[in-house]
Amino acid sequence: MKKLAFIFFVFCSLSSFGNKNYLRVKEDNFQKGQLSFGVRSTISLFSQSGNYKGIGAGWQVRYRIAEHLNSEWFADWIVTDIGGLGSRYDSHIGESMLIYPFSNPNAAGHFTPYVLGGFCGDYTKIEANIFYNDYTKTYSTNTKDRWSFATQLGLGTHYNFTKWFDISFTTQYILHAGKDIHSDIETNSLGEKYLHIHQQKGNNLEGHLFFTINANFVIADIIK
Amino acid sequence: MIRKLLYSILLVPLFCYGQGNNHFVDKGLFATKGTLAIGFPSAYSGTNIYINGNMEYYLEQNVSFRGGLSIFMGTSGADAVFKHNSSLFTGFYYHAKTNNHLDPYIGLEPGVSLTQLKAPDIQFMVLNPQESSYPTRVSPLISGTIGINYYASTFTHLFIEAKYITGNHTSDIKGVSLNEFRIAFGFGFNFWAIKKKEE
Repeated sequence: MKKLAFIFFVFCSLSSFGNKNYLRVKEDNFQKGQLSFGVRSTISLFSQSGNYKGIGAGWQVRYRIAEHLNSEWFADWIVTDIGGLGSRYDSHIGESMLIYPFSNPNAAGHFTPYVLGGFCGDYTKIEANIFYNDYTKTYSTNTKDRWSFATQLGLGTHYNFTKWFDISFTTQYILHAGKDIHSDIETNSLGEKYLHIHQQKGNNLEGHLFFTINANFVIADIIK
Repeated sequence: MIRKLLYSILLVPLFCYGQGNNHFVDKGLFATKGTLAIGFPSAYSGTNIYINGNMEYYLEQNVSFRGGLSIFMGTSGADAVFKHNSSLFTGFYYHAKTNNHLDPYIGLEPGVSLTQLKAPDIQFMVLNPQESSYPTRVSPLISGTIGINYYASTFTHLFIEAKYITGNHTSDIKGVSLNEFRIAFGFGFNFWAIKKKEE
């Protein structure tokens, strides 16, 4: 599946550069140097804490490096309710490169698909709701956190409402490497479910799947 | 009632296209609104009441950037779940082009909420020592808006809009969904920050 996806992306890139209209489009619709600002809404579909939906908000700045290459600098923050027993907070600051494999990128009234890859830094905190602790014989909570870094890969598309304004839809998989942190739902001696947060020694890998919708407006053209 | 309002919001733009040739909104228009908003939460009964305000600038003829604040005033028709439930939104709006002073729009606005659950009475807390400290939390929100402005004069406009908000309040007890359908209508002020180009 991964091999097929890779071959597809490479093929798309090659076929778009062989398009006879490419040079004309580049002259008519040159986007290099454009700086845009946007807002983003993120839905986290799963993480190490389970298949719970997280909701996030954030901002981004894009700088168009070349006609078929864009860079996106983003920050977002996601809150996930873990089955009513605890919460997970994820903050990301990172950068993604957007590659437009097809010709005519950013034509108003059209979709512009892209492949995305990049990296980010991440802060995660998991917090358990109040539960009866069998060891201390009291009601208490538990919190653990960690910093990590990550790499991401995804697919998406802009819909260009105008020459300066687009809405973008992205699905991306983010792979984090950092200190271990994870949680499990367990049952205490009272028969109540609670969130047990673990943090083992050493580093660990963790993946998330995100769906992002964002709106962007070109605020400046640095090269012009 | 909600259905009728929704139909009004969705159908009015359809009548906007055959009304002369005098498109009002353009780049440089600054608009501000202040009104009451009512929210219909999906997770609990009752109607939330807000004082709602926003400021909007038209970056081009059919794109605007908006920042808005909803201050929670309480819950009507049921016991209040939240003590605080105010929210702040920023985002972009796309305005369909019309040939008159009507201005239908859709928007995407991420936001944040400042929420705190309302603590139960003292007797309940004595009987339930494991109960929460009811902390105030800030949570991210996703929202989508559809609505219409009517720019009645150079300085004022009328509007009606519907917003769907999704998010979660989490604390040290079971989380509460912030999903809500919010309706606001009223009037606002507007002026030209940049002189409108003559057609």
